[in-house]
Amino acid sequence: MLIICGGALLALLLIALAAPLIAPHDPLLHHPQARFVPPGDPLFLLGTDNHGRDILSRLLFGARSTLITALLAVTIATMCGILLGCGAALAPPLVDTLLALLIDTLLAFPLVILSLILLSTVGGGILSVALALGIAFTPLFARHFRLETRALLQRHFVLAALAIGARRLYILWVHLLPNLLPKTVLQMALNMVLIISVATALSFLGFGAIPPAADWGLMLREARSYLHHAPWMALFPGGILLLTNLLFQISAEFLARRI
Amino acid sequence: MIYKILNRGAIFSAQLLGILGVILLVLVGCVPTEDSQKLLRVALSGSPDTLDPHTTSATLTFQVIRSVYDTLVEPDGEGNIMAGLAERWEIAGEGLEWRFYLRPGVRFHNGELLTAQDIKASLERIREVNSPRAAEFSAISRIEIADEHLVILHLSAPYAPLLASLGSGWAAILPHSLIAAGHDFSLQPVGSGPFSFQKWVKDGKIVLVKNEHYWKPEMPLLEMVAFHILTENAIRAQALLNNEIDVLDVIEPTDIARFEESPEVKIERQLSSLAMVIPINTSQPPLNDLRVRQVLSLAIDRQRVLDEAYGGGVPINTFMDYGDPYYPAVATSYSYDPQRAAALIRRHNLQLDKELELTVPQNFEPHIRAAEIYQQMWRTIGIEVALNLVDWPTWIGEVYSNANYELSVIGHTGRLDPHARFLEYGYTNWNNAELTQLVLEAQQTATLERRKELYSRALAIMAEELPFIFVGTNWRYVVTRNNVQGLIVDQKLDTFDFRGTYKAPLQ
Repeated sequence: MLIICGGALLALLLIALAAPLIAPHDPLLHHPQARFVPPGDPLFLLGTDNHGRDILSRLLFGARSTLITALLAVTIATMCGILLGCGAALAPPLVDTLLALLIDTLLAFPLVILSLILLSTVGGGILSVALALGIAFTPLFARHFRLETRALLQRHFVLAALAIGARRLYILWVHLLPNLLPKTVLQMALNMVLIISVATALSFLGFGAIPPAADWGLMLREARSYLHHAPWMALFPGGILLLTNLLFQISAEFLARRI
Repeated sequence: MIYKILNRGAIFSAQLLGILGVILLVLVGCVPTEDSQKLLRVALSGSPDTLDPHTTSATLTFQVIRSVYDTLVEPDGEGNIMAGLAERWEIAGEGLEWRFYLRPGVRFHNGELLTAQDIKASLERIREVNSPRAAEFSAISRIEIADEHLVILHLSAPYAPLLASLGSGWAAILPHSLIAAGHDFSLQPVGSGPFSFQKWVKDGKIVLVKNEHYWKPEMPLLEMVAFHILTENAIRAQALLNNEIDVLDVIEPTDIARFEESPEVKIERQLSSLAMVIPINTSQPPLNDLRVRQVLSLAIDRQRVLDEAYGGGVPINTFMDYGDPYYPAVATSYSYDPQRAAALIRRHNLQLDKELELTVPQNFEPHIRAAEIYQQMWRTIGIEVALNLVDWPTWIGEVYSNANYELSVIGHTGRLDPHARFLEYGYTNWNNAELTQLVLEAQQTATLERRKELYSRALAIMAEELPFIFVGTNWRYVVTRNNVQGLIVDQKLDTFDFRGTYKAPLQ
C-alpha cells in the first residue's frame, strides 16, 4: 500500500515537474471560440473554463505550483521546527519553558488566520505563500520535535553519552538527529495534507496565487460563479485536490505502521 | 491499522459532514420560509458598510436606504426630476437663488414634523461629515430658512447640476434634532421615507417596515421589505428559483438560460448606468505618451470583454454610459484594430518592453475576469501586463485617491446629471484646459441643448486624449418572481423604488 501510494505521489510529482512538456495547451491562453467546452472534447480532454482555457493544462501546471509550494513550506517548517524544538529541549530549563510557552501561544492561532497575517506582510505570489506557510507551521513542528527530543534525552544511550561528558552539539548530531529522522519524515507527510489545504484555501480566498496563474485554489474560486453552468470547472480541481490529500494521508498512515 | 485508517477517515468524514451541515444551515437560515403577500424579499449582493447616506457613495447602501429617506426632489426612474419633499421649486436671481416650497405635514419616522430646519441641517451635514459627494453641493454658499416650509439655497455661481444632486440618495433629508444629538445614522437610519428601518442582522438581512404616515397617499403597498444579504451568485440564483426571494439584481449571465426556462420568474434587461473603463495614470512614461494609450486602446476587443466578463453590453468611446441622453456621437474612436496598433508601434518605434501593472479591485469578480482578458489582448501586440489584486479600501485609497498605479479596471456609476462624470477623472492625472473651460461653462448654463453641446465637445476631447480606455456599458438584469408588479429600478442610480410595488395574488 505504501509503495502504491508513494509511487502515485512520485508520479504526481514527476507529472507536475514535467507539466510544460506534457500539457496539451498553454494554461494561460484564452480560446474565445471554445469557452465552457464540456469534458470529453478531443481537443480539450477535461473541458475549458470561462475564458476557454484548457482545464487539463491548468491542472498540470497547478500541480506544480501546489506541490512546490507545499514541499517548500514543509521544508521551511521542518528546519525551523528542529532548530526551535531541539534547541528548546537542550537549553536551560528557564529558556525551555519560555520557548514552550511561545510555541503554545502561536499554536493557539488558527492556521489560516496566522498564514493570512504573515502573507499580508510579505505580499502575494506562491513563493510568499510557501514562506508564510512555512513560518505558520513552524510551531506545530517545533512542539513535535521538542517532545521527541525530550523523550530521547531520557534514553540510556544519550544518558551514557552525557555521563562521559560528550558535548551537547555532538549528542545532537550523532544521537538525536539520526533517531529523529524517521518521525520527521512521518511528520512531514502528515502535515502535507494540512499545508496543501491551507495553501489552496489562501488562493481561493484571493490571498495566494495571483490570477491568471494556474492554481487549484484559484480554479476553484473561479468555478464558484459557474457551478450550475459548468460544474466540471469545480469538479476536476476539487477531485485532484482530494486525491492528492488522500495519497499523502494514506502514505503517512502506512509509514507510521513501519516506524 | 486498517481500523486506525478507518478511524481517521471517519473523523474526516465527520468534519466534512459538519462543514456541509454549516453550509446548509447558512442556506436555510438566511432565507425566510414564509411567503407572505405583503412581504417583498430582495437579494442584496453584499453587506453595506453603512446606512448613513452622507458618508458613502456605495450603491449597496443606497439600494437599502432609498426606501428609508426622502429627498427634496426625486428621479422618476427615466431620468426626469419630479417633486419630492418639495412640492415645487423656482430658480430666481439669475440662477443664484433656488427656492424650495416644502410639502406640509410630512413626518419623520420618529414622529417629528419635517420643516425647513431639517433641510438646512441635512445639507450642511453633507459638508460637515465630508461626504464623498460633498463637491456636488459646494456651489451652495448659504442656506436660508425663509419660513417653516420655504427654504432658499443661495449659490456662489450658477450651477445647473444641483437639482440632480438634490434628487440623489446622498442628499437624503435627516431630522435636525437627531443630527444635533449626534445620532448614529450608520446603524439606525431615521428618515421620512415610505419604509422605516426595523433591524439589521449583520451579513444576514436588513428589514424595513411600512411607514403608515407616508406623505404619498395610499403608498407604500407593501407591509415589509427584507433585504437578504446573499453574496454567492449560485445561492442567489437558487434562492429565487426556489421562491425564497422575490427580486434579484445581480446575476451571472450564464444563469440567464435557467431563469428563462423557469415559468415562475421573469427577467428584464436594460442598459446599466456604468461606464466600464481602464483608468490610465498619465503622469509617467510610457503611459504619458498618447500614442502608447492609443495602442493600448486599439488592442481591446470591447464587445468580447463585455460579453465574456460583464454579461454583454454596448461598447462606448468616451466617458459616458451608452444609455445616457448626453452620450455623444463621437467621431474619433480607438476601438479594436490590432493591425493599426501594430502599425502605430512600428511607425513611431515605440518602446513597450517594460512590464506594466494592472491594479484590479477584487471585490467584483467580473473586473478580475476583464483584467485577465485585457492581459491576453495586450500580450498579442507584445505588451506584458502583470495583475495586482487589491481589496476595495486599498483601491479607493491607492488608486482613486492617491493615483498610485499604472493601469486599473473599474466601472464608473451613473448620475442623474452628466456633470458628475467630470468630477471623477482626477486620478488619471490628466488635464485639459479646454475641457475644464467647457465643463465650467456647462455648469453655469441652464438650457438643455446648450449644455448638451458643451458636454459633447468635452467628451469628444476625452475620446481623443484617452485618459481612460473606454470599454462599454453592460446590461443590467433584474430577475423577479412572476407575481411581483410595479417595481421601479432607477436606470441611473441602480436603486429600487418599492412604493408602488405589490405582489399579485397567486392563481
